[in-house]
Amino acid sequence: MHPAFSVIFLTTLIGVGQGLFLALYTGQLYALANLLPAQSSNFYAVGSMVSLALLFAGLIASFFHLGHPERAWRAATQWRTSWLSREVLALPAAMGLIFLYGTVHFFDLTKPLFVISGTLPVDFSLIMGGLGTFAVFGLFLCTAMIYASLRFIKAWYSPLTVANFLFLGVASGFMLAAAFSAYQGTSLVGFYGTWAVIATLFGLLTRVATLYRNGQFRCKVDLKSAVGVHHSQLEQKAQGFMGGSFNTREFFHGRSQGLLNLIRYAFLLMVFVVPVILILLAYVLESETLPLLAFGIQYLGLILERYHFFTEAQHPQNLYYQSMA
Amino acid sequence: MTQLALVIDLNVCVGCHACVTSCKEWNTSGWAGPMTDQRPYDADPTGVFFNRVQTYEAGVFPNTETYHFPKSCLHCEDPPCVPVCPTGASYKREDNGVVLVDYDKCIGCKYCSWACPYGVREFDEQQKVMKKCTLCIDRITDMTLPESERKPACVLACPTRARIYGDIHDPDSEVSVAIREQGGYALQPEWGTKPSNHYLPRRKTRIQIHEDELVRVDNPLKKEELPTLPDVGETLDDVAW
Amino acid sequence: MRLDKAFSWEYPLSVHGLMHNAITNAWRGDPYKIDTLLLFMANMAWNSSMNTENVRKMLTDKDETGEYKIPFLIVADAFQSETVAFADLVLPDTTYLERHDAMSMLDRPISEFDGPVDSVRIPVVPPRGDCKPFQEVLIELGSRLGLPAFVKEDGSRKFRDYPDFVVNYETSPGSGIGFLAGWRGKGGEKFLKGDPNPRQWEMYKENGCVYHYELPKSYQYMRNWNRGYLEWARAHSMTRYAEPITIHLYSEVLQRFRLAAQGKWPGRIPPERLRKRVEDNFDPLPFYSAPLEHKLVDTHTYPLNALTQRPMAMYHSWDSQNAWLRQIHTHNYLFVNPRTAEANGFGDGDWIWVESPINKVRCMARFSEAVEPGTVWTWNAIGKAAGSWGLSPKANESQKGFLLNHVISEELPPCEAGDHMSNSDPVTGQAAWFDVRVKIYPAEAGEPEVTSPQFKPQKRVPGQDPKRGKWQAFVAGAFRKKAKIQE
Repeated sequence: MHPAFSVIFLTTLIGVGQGLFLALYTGQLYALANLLPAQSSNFYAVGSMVSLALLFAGLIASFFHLGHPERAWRAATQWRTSWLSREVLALPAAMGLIFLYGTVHFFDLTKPLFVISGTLPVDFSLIMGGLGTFAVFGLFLCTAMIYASLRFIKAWYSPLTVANFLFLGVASGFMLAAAFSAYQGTSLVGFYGTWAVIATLFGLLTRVATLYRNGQFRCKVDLKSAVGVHHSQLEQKAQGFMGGSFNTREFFHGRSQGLLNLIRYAFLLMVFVVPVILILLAYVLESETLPLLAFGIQYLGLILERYHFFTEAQHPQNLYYQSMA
Repeated sequence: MTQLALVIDLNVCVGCHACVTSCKEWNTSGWAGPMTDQRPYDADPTGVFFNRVQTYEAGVFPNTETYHFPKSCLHCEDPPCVPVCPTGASYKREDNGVVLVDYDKCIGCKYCSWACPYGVREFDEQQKVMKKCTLCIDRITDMTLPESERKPACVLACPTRARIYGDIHDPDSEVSVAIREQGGYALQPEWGTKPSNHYLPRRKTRIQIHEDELVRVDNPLKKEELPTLPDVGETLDDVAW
Repeated sequence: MRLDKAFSWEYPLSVHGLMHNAITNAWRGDPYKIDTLLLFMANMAWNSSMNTENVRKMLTDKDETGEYKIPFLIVADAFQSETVAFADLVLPDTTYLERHDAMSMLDRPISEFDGPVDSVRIPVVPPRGDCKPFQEVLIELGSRLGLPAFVKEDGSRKFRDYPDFVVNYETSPGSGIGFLAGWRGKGGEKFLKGDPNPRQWEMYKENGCVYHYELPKSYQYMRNWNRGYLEWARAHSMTRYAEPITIHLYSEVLQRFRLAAQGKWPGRIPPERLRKRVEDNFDPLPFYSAPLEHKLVDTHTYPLNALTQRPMAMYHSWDSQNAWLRQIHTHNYLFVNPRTAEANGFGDGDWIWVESPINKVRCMARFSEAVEPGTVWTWNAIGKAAGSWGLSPKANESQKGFLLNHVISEELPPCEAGDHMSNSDPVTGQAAWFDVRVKIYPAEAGEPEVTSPQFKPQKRVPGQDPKRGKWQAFVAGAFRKKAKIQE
């Protein structure tokens, strides 16, 4: 597939935003359980706004993918059948809940409403955060399923796609949370950094598994089945046009194998290796800037990772567009 | 239920592209138009077509066969492109099974084309919506046309009658008979999309003749009496070549 | 003697003429010099000529006095073709919806199995600008030159215009045979043969522009020996004889030429240099002989046959440049058998040279198992000269498309029959398009990836607007006053 930068930015930006929100809420839960020192409302409020801004940026990026963004509202109608439609509902839902979560914190509306079992005080932020968590996981699922539900594109048609989107989003979000904490001078750098490393390692596992899987399989259909001529030596001579068409522009990446190998090694280093080393260094050196650097490098790596994700996908329609004369 | 479709006979398609151009001529000026072109008179001209004719070669010389292979939307019975559409712009007509795009609802996300394994949807770079073969829906449902013309433009244009059109759910229709009796097959059946359009495979007719059949028993050299006719002056033979 | 030497002893039965030699003969002044060349319905500076690169030079070549060898060139064309660029005078032709035409009984009518059919074309839009159908030009010329078919006995003009000509022309005075078979006779009551009918065009128009005479069922089949049909055809002057039409395996006509060459015929005899050629080729019985060119070139150096054919999608539209069709065929490849390519050291899609004894072209190769290994072929007339046909000079047609005609010679190498014999069939003068021998080899690594030969891009002509920048749309209309454009 031809990598679409609007979609690359959409999926990576909202991934970070969702991960950041999860990090904030996880932090709050830990604080609630007194496993971590409580943070100021401002920490959560600003963090939520950063998360929201990332989701919003992703939304804006997605509009560049559309031929008619002014009709985008229509995309909410087919949620019964279309994962894309479900994403269109999940994204604003998550944004709304994150906004409410941030607002609640901003206005300090954290007076407990009721107490469960005498130990768990439940306030608005906890409810909003809980709902937001649901929405964020739903959004991860929807976004990933857009790709993972396309049974013709075998490179994507796998639960691994969902796992990758989830782990890489969470990893980059926690990485940003670590950087944010370091920037704010809070004591959560180690906590977020640890979880970021754990998510990154999970992501490494599923992403490498995906690469391994995609290096192994053969497409279910071949040219014989595509044309219906069962001859062992069947070759296309003419595809019906010579100046290119939507079929040749949308479904071929047109990049050399050498470049793709380079991109693969680059993203494996930038997403998985370098950020983990930097976070460890930051922990050792108690650096405030290294977590930010770790996040920056990981995010750039994710852009390459998503680019590679598109180039990995071999669309069966490409069987029909191999030669011209 | 009716399921309209095309059956394409690979025995007789000669690859003349008449279906390609007649399709564009009809549809660019009709319900499904326009079908825009980019750089029409410059380098690498490109544009929207609903139907393309491709050419394949099977075998090694001298045992080679050239296949001309027209490909347009197959109007699947279970079209994977329809449920993925987030706006409902892609739909399959209940009454005749034709898969269509409502350009006014299409947001141009191209997701339907990703979900089609056959590569038959084409995005219009100028109008920014997805387009595809409509089976000439504005011809086949136009009751003001005589029945003989209520057919897709490509079918009417085909000089070798390689394209047959009809209802594949009617067991007695020309298309159903052709599929049944001539081994009509669907493309990429592995996916279970159940394409409605079918292709008729190449048939081989091998000569079976005995030596004794080659000798004629009647005499073709017998000369007949010819009448003498009155002179009529100059004839076409005298003046034309 | 005609300029193309048709009907001479060199090509005695060349009813279709030898168009491919007209320019070369005129340039050489053999059989004579000419002062004016009028070209229509052919693209003689490109795909209608052999040896195109040199023919283009001939069109602008000068003699020792500095005069053009072909002093005055008139081209009638509806498009900005390669030939138009060479014209001293361009006569803008109409396209087919702007003029009268006849698919006439006198030349390849559109007959059906159940009876003779002919048809006409009636304009649906008036010609634009100064465009004029080329038929009108020819009638005007014929009338002014006083050619017998176009003038009355007193020398005055016979036909007003082309529609008048189609209605009133008779093969000989009073023959009753003209261009159209339908609605002949004074009131349109006759068919096939009859007096000119002044309302014939109207009657064709009323009948969908087609005349179809449906034969009785018993006349419709096996018509070459259907006695009823043959007698009917004879009675209506469709045929000269009512005898069964058979293929003459032994041709008496050819035998007469052979006898003449052998000196056994009382009439005219061919000149000495051509006697053996006529004797060899006018065999009354079918025979095989290798193409003349193969006997005269080194077939070891040039081991391959090279062919062209028109692409089906563009069969009847190569005299136009259609935006849709050029997406289907926007450039052409040389189709080569993979084993032939391997032997010559290049791969699928590589740039290669195709060289014949007279010229060479650079193009791209495409492997095909459907090609005989001793043959290569390509689509004809996809390649265009840069800037022609209203295309951008960067269009694929001129940069990647190529014309095989450059390597096909219009003349044979010097031989016993003469130094400048046409590369044509010695009996019919049919141009020997398919006789060319070539060798193929890969292009050097550093060579530009464009076809060769390239020509200086044709200039834009009035009416072909220069490209405007997108920014100009923002100031559209702002300079009307300055440009003196009326509101």
